[in-house]
Amino acid sequence: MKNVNLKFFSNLLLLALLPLSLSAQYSKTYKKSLDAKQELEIMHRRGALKVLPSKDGKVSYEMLVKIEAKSEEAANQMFNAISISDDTFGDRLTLTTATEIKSMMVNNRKSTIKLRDGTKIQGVRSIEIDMIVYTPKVQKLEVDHKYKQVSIESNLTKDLELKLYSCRMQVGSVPGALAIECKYTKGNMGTVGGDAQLDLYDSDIKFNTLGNVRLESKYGELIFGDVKDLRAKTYDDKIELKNINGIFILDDKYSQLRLASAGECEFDIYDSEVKINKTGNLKIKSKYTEYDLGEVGAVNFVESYDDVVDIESAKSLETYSKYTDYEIDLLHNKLEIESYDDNFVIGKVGPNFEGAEFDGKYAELRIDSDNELKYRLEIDARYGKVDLEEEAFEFQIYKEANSELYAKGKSKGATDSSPLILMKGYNNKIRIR
Amino acid sequence: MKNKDSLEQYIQTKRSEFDRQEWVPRDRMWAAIQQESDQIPNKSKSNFSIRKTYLLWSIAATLVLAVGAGIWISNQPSEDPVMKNENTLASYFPELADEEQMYRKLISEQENKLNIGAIDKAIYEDIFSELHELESIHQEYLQDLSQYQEQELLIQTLLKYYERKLRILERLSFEIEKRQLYEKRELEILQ
Repeated sequence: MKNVNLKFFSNLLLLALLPLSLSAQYSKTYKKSLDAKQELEIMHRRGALKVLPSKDGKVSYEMLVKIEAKSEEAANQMFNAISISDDTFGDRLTLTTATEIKSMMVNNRKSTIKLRDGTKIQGVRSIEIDMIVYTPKVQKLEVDHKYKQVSIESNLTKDLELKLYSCRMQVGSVPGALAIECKYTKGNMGTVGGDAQLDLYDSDIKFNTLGNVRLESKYGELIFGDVKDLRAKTYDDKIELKNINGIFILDDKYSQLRLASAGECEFDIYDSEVKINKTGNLKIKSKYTEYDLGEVGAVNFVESYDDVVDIESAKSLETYSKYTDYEIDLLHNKLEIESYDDNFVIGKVGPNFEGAEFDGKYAELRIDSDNELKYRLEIDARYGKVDLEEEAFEFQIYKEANSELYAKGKSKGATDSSPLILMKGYNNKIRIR
Repeated sequence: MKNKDSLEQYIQTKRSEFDRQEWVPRDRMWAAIQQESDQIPNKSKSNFSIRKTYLLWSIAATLVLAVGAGIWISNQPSEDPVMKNENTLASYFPELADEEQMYRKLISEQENKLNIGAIDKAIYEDIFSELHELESIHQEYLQDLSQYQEQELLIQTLLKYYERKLRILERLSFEIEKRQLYEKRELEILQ
């Protein structure tokens, strides 16, 4: 009886598992060799794509089609619906893998594929088409791919154009120009000798060195090596760059930017974080942004609103600003402020300090001078407040009437040619200690 | 009458015979009964064995039917509005229905919280433009679902849409707060 029970339940289990064991793998390889042209275009779907160097100067491909199906008949039906075409037009060769699939429905127990001609194929559970293309070096290589890996070896083409949707990319060096349009793609790119046009959406890519770059990106995580000029329009990206040897023009919102060094920079930034170690002159229009700047040239905030600006060393600062906090450790030359409710803290001024002009409302300027600064001070303000080292300063004129303050004076040791600090406006405060 | 009389007469005549009890061989009778009862248990055992096998197969058949019915039911289009729409992840992957439904619920809650229909889109043109672009890209990917259903990266991308949309709606909320503070400040400046 025991044996009967065991046999019964094992049969029952086998019966239950039977449907799962019915699929089998079928595969077929397609190969062809073609004369190479100056331009090669590859459009591929449903499997990995590799582009490798050719050994015989021709373009050839190996396409491995793997089908998981319940019957050989179903697999063969599917094989017949898969094709690769090679078309030549002028000096351009185009390879296109195609399936006649109109729709595919696969669930736990059944699968149905509907072809464009209306044919239904039952029992095909998966289709994979892996492709290797061998090519000699061409003038231009274009690759259009979706949903799988793509890898392209170095120096197979002078110029490269990629259109990738949800791919994993591994691309080598390109001596010429690069154009990438991609969405939801991750990967790495080698050195690009020429200029690059990058149109990226929610893509995480690591680039090496590039020439002049035009970048449009949203929601990406991007790493760059050295570039020449960079013109970028970014949105909610995380971007790391090494050195920008030329100019850097940026229109950005909601991004995080890390940059080692740049030449001249022009920014229009909204609600971002910017960290730059070293730049030339900066011209900025900005709101709600945090700046952490190292050694910079002349900084000009043509418009600043509710920013936080932290600078190690600047040649000069010129700003038209509201609700912003500034902290400059070392200011070399001059300060020009048109302010509303800002705070300015200058840690130290350099030996070539030319002076400061401070106008606006409700703003506060603090200069930590350590009594080394020799300066003249002139105040013409309503409800102005002054906080100075009394022993180190001497007023020549001090008139306060009807909330108006007019004062003139010099620090000890200052002359008529010493830097002039001028405060105007309404309800501003200046502190020099 | 005549018959009745003759019957009564017959009974009267044979009365002694009718009243006489026959002798019953009791020992032989019990021996016969015992013999019969010894045969009956073997028949019950085999009957019982057959019934048990039938019972097991019945249980098995019921189980198979129940499992099969369950699988058939689970593969049927759901009444759930998410799954009713052909162009959703859930219509291709029922196991993702709960996750998709959860995201849709979170998005709906956020939109209701923002009262998104009443917001002046011109003021937040940038953000509404992002929502529109995200939707447009999502629709493009959904078109591929019927052909590339098995592609994992396609499925990941379609799920990412919901996270991205939530993030943009959160951003819209922050922008509304910022604008309110900005307007308050501008008013203070004018006063």
